[in-house]
Amino acid sequence: MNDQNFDNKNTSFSYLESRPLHIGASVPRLDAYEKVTGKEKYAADYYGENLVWAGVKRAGVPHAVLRGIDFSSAVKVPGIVRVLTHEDITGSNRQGVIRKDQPVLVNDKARHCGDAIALVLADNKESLKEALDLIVCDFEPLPGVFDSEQGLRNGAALVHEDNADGNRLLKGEIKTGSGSDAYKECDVIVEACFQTQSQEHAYLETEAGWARLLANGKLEIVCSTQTPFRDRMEVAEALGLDPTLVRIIAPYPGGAFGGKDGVTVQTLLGLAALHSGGRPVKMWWNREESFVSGTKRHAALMYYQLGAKADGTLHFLDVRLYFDTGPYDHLGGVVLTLALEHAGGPYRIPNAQLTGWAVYTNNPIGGAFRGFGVTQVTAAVEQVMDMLAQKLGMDPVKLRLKNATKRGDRSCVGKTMVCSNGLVECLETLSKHDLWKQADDWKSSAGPFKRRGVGIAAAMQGSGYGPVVPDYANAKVELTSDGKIRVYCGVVDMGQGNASTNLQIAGSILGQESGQMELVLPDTDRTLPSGSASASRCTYTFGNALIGAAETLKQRILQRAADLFMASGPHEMALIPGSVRHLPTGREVPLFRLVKFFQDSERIAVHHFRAPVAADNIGVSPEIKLHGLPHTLFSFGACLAAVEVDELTGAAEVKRFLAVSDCGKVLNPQIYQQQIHGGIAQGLGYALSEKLEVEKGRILTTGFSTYIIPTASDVPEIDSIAVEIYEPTGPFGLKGVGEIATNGPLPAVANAVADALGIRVFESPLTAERILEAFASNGRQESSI
Amino acid sequence: MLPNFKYVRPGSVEEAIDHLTSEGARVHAGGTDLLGCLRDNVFGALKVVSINALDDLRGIRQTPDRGVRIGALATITQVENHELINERYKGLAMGASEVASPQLRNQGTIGGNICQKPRCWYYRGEFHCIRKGGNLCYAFGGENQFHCIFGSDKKCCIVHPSDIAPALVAFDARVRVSGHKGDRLVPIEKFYVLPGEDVERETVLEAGEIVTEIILPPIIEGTRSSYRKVRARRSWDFALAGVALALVLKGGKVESGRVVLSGAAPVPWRSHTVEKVIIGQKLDSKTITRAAETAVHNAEPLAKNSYKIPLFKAIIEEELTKIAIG
Amino acid sequence: MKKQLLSMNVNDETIEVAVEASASLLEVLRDELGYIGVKEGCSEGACGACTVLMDGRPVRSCLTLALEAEGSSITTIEGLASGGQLHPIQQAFVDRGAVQCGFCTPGMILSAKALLDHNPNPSDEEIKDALAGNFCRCTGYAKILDAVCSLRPASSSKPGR
Repeated sequence: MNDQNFDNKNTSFSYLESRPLHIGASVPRLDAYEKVTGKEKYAADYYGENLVWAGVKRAGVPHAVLRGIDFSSAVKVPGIVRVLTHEDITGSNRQGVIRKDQPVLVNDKARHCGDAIALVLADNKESLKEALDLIVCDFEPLPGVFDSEQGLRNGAALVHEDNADGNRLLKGEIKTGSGSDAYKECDVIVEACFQTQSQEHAYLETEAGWARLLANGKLEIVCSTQTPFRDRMEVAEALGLDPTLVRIIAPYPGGAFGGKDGVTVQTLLGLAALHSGGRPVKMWWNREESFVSGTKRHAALMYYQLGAKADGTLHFLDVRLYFDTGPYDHLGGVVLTLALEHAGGPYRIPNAQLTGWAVYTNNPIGGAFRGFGVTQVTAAVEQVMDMLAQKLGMDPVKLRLKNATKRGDRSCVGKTMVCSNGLVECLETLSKHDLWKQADDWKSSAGPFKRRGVGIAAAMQGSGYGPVVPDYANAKVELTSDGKIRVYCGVVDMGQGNASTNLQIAGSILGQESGQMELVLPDTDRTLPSGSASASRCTYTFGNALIGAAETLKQRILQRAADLFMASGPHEMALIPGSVRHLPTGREVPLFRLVKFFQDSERIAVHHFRAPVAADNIGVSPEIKLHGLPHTLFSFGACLAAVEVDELTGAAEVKRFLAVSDCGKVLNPQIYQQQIHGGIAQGLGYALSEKLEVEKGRILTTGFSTYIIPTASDVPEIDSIAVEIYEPTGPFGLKGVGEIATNGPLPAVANAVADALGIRVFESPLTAERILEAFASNGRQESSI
Repeated sequence: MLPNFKYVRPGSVEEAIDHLTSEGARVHAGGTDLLGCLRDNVFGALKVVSINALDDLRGIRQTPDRGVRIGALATITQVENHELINERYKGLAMGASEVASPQLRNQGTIGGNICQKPRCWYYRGEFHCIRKGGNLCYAFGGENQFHCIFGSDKKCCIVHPSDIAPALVAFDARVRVSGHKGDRLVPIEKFYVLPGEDVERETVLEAGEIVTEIILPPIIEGTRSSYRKVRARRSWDFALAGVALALVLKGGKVESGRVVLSGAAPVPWRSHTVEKVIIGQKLDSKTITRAAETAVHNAEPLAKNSYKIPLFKAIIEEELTKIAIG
Repeated sequence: MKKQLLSMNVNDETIEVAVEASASLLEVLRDELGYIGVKEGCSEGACGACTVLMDGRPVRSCLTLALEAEGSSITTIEGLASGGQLHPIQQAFVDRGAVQCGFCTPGMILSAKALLDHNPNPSDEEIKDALAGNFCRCTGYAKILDAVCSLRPASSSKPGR
């Protein structure tokens, strides 16, 4: 495997019966063939002759000055190649997306338990483990910050002494209308404080990669990542390398969900490969290491006040958000900014005072996670909406419909919503569904010791990078020398199916079936920079670029074929699977023959697409704007959870779930459903069972026996309905579907539990213990919610 | 990645016992708990003694006195599906069906299950706790929501993780322990050790001893049994709270029987107080309520697990009601 | 420590390999023998990604010492398709959209195979129980259950997803 050549690693499909590729059809995913046979090679699957195993010594303490590292015994272990520390790094030794504040290897102090202290290279896993256990860190413990509100207080320990704002990574403030003063003009006000927990991505493939340094000085890194092009720059800067000498190759990750948005193993692997004597290096974090060192969904503390007129017209919103970003920026500032933008949900609220803090702590690192800050605030705003409906005596669907944004309305940050907006259609579809219409019957037929409730939630999710960071994609399509169509994917497919969708798009434009298609996965040397696999942007941004490239290639093929047949023009020609046909005569030329008439450079078409950005000047600070506010493209959804609570045990069980979503036109219903189902399952885990126990910065739940994610027996029957509103800027009318479904489950379940018991649990997850405690303390009386 | 060790697969119980008396030897049956413990550095092993070649330790069969003998190597799946057990010792079959996941039930053995190590996150994590020879139980002042409400002896507040052991206690099973000095039959209730007696061990097994079989006494006419487990996830999750019941009902009254709690104490916790309330009584709603109330009278909840009080009350009430109905 | 010789049958091929006593079956299959379709997800027996069939029964290869496989027949995902033809379970996973990131897929398919080999017409509950030891973080399980349900003789009765 040392002679592994990545330059011609293309996927064609061995088990595949060729299938037509039409937009709108449930074409089975083309990546599934290699995956069901176990042939697909993930980053974790790279080995090779003469392999070096690399592993990391972690801090194990949340906050401490590093006075020294003693690895004298470790290097004596037979089979040890090298032990590396920060002193071996010639670059900046810092990584990060916005603020580069995370060391590759700690040089001054540990800021969380997962910090990397030393990197060990060994001939085998046994020696590696032995050596890691023998490294001794000389730490001088420091008081820590383990709570975001505390972190902001005077006198709190400082996570970064050089940060001018203390433990404040970012503060965002947005005021619209008369802000808090509108309080006085409300007839009804509800108020609540919500606490949501850290959530682990729990992808099945933990962070993994493989790297080698070639004789020509090129550093090749194969890794499980969402962001190959950004990784390249980060690795180069941190290690002091010329970026053109760094190549990132990104196979399909075994799940990512935001947790591989940014550097995990990449820089460490690069460093290892620089010191392995030309041998290939493999690093694969175990599950515990993934828990301890990987990023999490930010734990959040959210204070809400929502006011309305007597008729239910929303009038005022006051929000204070505290997001625990852990010790490093990662994407914490951006997450907070999205939370602020979505704090008022998909509703018209003319007066708002929104304030938020992303706070440095010595807890695990907060980072990107599907939903990206929107999940937290949706949990809050959708619960206060229900509390308001209750206080007004209004039907919760009607309250939402009354205030739902429509195209042309302004969101709570004052941004004009110009994209397609199917929120009303989503809510109306939900209200006509049997699960809503027959909710009362269903609730009243609960068995003994059971109580039933039905809860709803609506949500929106901005997609793309916002107004400042360029959000673009560059698609490349090739007519190969043997007449196949090869699509170079610039955006990672971490499981969401965009690679297959790309083939569907190109195949449908070029009239080809799957058997004629080939795929190249993201590779900084072969595919073109197209941004990250994140922010519900993949198929929207790359798909638009791909349409351009495929259309260009199509015109070129038709023109060349027309010339060959001496036809009057390309309009007489049609691409059919494997060939071009001259329609007036029925004569055909196979593509493998036609391609002989192409110069190499003509066989490739590229197209650049840049996503539209909001033109609104809504008066936010340049810093907040840089962090992505406001967005211009939004997906929408409404969902319903039918929940049964066991009075005796407190256990809440979701019996049925309905999700109605507007993500524009659906290109592949099967893949669309996958995204909705998967988002809901993650959202239900977040709502009910996933609880990261962190004690003074130390995670106790470092495995799947204690961190409880849903199994096949835990996920209820899901009804998913797409409200397909055409989005004019989208490829074939599409908007992103990657994140929207994750946001609804927690508030819908919490609202359902409140409906069932008359008690609201303000802290998630809603475990049996919490519900039972709430119920036992004020259960049998009717409390107001 | 496991620390290296020597592996032997003896052909007889005697040979196995010989191996197990050597320094750092550990017995391997299904391996599911052993490998987890080794990987988590809960303890080490210089030698792993696989007893899987000992076919005498397999199988489930009726004994001459109409009891049932379960070989220590019977898998959890075999216990769960066995006809005799389902027919007569329903609560045991129910307990077995609640263990981990189907794959682990295929691998795990009943002998291993009743000897498994605690799941406390301090014990399994990188904490040198009192059970591992340290001098502190971190759970008392820490995250103790899943810890015990009985029997900590103020030393260690683990809960016993087995779903099978409570049912075995309810049926008054005996455990055959084989060692150098020969065999002994230990009533399973006496098989477990409370922290107050010895905080570093969970069972009475001495070095070089293994469990070879489990003997269920013949079932008494009129026995009704069940096992109820409450947990956060439906698969691969340990009990927050559970109750195993084996009661003999005659003429509408509870003649004898046992009530055993899981997720409650460092050992399967026999609730003598509940037994006292119900034995000799009709299982009417008044008795059942009183039984449930008394079950938790002497409980000593920790800072974060007081929810277990209403939980135990509720499931005892529920299960007794089910038993009463039949 | 000295390696010991292990002899087993993997996907109908007799294999002899010298292994460390402490090596798990997972490590030997992946690292030594190159069966990369055997995935590692947690190494504590929870997630099921490393599921292989040992004499027809699904086991966690991460919690199985390689030497315990002496003399047994192991089936990995690589042993299912033959002659360019997918196994019907694999085909159903493709057709029904049961695959997303695919990292749980090999273990999931093998658990499904063990179930269907033993019980060709399982109920919805039996399917869920049999697969509950295989975690998937992408799909929410709906399409996986749909794929397995479609393989029952009377495939009309789906679990209503």
